[in-house]
Amino acid sequence: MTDRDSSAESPADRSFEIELKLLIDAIYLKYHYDFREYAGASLKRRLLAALERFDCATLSQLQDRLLHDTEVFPQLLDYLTVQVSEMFRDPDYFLALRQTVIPMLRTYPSLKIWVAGCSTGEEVYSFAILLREEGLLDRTLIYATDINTNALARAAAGVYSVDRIAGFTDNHRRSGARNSLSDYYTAAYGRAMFDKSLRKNIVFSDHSLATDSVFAEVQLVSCRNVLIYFNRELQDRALGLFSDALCRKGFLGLGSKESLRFSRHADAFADLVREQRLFQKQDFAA
Amino acid sequence: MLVVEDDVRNVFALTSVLEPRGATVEIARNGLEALAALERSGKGAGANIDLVLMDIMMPEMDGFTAMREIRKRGEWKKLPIIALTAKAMRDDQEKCLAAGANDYIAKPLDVEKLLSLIRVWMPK
Ligand SMILES: C[S@@+](CC[C@H](N)C(=O)[O-])C[C@H]1O[C@@H](n2cnc3c(N)ncnc32)[C@H](O)[C@@H]1O
Repeated sequence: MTDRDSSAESPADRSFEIELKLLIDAIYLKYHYDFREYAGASLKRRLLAALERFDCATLSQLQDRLLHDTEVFPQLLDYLTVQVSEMFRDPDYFLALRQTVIPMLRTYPSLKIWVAGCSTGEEVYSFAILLREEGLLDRTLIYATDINTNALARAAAGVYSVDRIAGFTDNHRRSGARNSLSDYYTAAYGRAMFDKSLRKNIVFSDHSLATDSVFAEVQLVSCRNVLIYFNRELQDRALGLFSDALCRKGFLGLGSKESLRFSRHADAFADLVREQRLFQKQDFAA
Repeated sequence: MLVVEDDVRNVFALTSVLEPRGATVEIARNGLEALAALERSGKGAGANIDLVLMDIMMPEMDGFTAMREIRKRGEWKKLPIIALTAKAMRDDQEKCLAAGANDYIAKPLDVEKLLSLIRVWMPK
């Protein structure tokens, strides 16, 4: 999961490194968003794209604007975070959930699920739909958290471009669905709006895995394609939060490129469905 | 005192600190239940809720909205509210104050700090 750049450094690279560190510190001091422990290489790429977008020659110029024009940061946040998502992304993950995790979740009288780094909501609606299909949605509360409040607002709206629905439908089907995805949305004027009743039990909330703490006890944490942007220390922090939030024998799902292998918390979890990155908290874990 | 919190583990932690110290604790699981509990509790000097501990992340009605609703009502303007927040940053905590909290405490709760806050804000 490391994302480090080992290429030889020219003086220009060196200046960029310094500016990067200063910019990240400036963001932390002024806006209290903590990117200090993010994986360097992908952060760099994204900031290079931001330079172009904001028409700045250097990160120092960008920093100047960031500090003196408060409109810049919310826009820059869309560069600092990656908002790529889809419904039933990696259908086999959701299939494994249906087959392996859902039968065990059924034994709880009420359920809480935490979707950490939910972006614009695709993963959350996938869970809501899957739980509805499995007859569990009415007794489940889903916490959907992210640091990008623009993305959260879009998640809460539950409206997606119609062009994306065919792909979502295909994923949904491959996740073991018995219904058609069209049972859950109405499409018109180029947009598909997902059924309000799906989000009756969803709490959307601004919460950072880098700075904030556990807020509830949950049976399942799904945190996919978020840890890849963190360095080892920050991954450990987030995994520690998940371990604390999970009940005894609770479940953890990660993204297809993420693992627990090198984590300080590896021992707290056992493989449940290894290929799908589904884990179960060990009994002895605190 | 009214504890507005939907997480069983947190409710348990709070009641096991508060009840042995003589507090009568009523639980509401979200903002709507909190408003209903306050409504029932009566008004003015005879009211039996003298302090509210308010979680932020709750279903139905979150803590921010609940605090704003409470502050809209004349008879609850002075009711002390302590917000319980999982957010660590200063501006998040300022958001609690802006919504009507008298003070806040970050989760995971430090018991001594919570007790100090209650001693400060509990009406004499
Ligand atoms: C690529 S998206 C993943 C979306 C979805 N989980 C999926 O797998 O399709 C990564 C998300 O992580 C969020 N994120 C980045 N840093 C975070 C942090 N410190 N705490 C919570 N979320 C964070 C970003 O804002 C972004 O929405």
